[in-house]
Amino acid sequence: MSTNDHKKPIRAVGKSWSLRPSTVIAIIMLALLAAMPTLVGGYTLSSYRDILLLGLFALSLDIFWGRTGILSFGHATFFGIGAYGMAIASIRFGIDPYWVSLAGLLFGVGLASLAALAVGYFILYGGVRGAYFTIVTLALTLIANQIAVGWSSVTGGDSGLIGVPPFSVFGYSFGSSTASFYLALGILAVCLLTALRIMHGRLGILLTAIQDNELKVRTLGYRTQFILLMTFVASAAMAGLAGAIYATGTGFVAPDLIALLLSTEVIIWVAVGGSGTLTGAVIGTFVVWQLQQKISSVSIAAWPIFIGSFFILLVLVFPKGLPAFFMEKLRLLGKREGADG
Amino acid sequence: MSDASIPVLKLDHVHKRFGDYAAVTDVSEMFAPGELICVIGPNGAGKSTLLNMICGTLSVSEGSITFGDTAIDGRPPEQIARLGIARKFQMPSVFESLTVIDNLRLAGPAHSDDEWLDEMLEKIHLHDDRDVLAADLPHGKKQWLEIGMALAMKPKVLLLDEPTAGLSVDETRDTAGFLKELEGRVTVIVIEHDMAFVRELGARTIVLHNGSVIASGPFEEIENHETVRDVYLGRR
Repeated sequence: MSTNDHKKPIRAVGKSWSLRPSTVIAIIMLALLAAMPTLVGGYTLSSYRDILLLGLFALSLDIFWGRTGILSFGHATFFGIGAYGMAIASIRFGIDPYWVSLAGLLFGVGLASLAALAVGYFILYGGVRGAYFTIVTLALTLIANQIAVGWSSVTGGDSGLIGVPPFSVFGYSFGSSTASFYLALGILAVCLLTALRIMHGRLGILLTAIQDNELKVRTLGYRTQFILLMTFVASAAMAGLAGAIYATGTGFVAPDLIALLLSTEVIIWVAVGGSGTLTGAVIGTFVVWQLQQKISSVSIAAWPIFIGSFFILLVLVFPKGLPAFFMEKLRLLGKREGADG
Repeated sequence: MSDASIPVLKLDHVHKRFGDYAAVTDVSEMFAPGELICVIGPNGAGKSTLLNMICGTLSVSEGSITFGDTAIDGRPPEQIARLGIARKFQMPSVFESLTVIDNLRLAGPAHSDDEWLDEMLEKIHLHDDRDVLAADLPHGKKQWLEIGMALAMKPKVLLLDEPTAGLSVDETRDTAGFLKELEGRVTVIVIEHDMAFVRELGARTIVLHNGSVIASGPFEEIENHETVRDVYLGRR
């Protein structure tokens, strides 16, 4: 009996760059962000750079959680590994400054990907899904955090590592706030538009189907564990990329980059923007960051209370995220006005 | 596999146990290429368990299942599907978050074009529902969509678990006609409780009771089989 030859490469089904609403919103958002250096500079611009990279981190979580429905509560592990990988390679390995950033990037992203591959292989092929997956990944962050704190000869312990050089490639340094902002924006743009392109294609459809009924997808001939593992590794690699570039922007790494709080915050960013929307993850990061700035300026202690309460409200009132909530309200308003007219 | 004398699927002393409970006991059957077969029996007889073992969603406790010359027991469902065995589940298992066309697109060949997909939609009477979310389809259309998805895999063996459950009389008749059209091209194994439908198919019928085959043969013989009438069909 010969193998049925019509199955099943995973490839995009889109015929061309179809401009779906989410892609249009992403392009408008990226264009507006590109104008940012003409409006602000210095410290503010550096803050926006960091938010872009945290937005990239949120996007990485959304690719996995939003599309597969499987929540990773340990995504800061991969962001932190990327950041620490870049810092350790830059500071400890004594690499030629000409190559140091690229080597650090490779090391950070590679480590994050390997960690996801090793952990993901056992849990995804072991059939761990749902809450159990969430708990395992949560434990992963705790372990990684302990390593970051305890292995002080390499990681710098509680103090972390200071002196990560600005990102440079072939001698060009992205040291200025404007250059590092555009570097972050460029990386975010490439990752976001690529993710949108891929998720609008066959892989996106397939991941949605896996979320609906994984066993059924397997009976159609798809190796779902492999597809989930590759998506998880890609998501972790993107988180590692965000972390590595983040470290070159701030110049230091500390254990809070690999901690449970950051793993929780990124879930909130994605949830606020609407999980599964991709662009929403970036928007959610900006919205929460703006709220954090405003509320912390009044009282730093008020922020954790606010974000906790806000998250409960989010789950109860607008579970699809703020943009979807407002779009739905606008749609209903338009409908009512149409009916009145 | 074109020689009709060589079975496309062979079950050899197949058992399935869940702890101390024997769901399927010593089932041996052979299915010819293009054959249409009905499997009937009371609830809990082991019919769905049998299909689950064939398509790999359940492991075999003892015995073997051979597809052509390939042993498939112990293989994961995706490998079995790739060999050419498609399955429709008892409860409609379409992807509710996807449109009708995307459901078919996933099931079909990776390079399937719109023309081919439209032909499939015509076949399963869902052309007008092309871009409708599967969640919004009525039950009968979900059944048809899942059958369409199984057919889109271009299988050599099609396993259908209660394809007419919840269908209207007209839809059931259409389904029977549709399956008869497949006869000779695809081996179709159908689990059914609707005896009028089974009679309409007029196919070889296997009767399971308490996990064992108690009768097998043309439906006219099965209808008059003493034991089958006692344990399942009843006496009129």
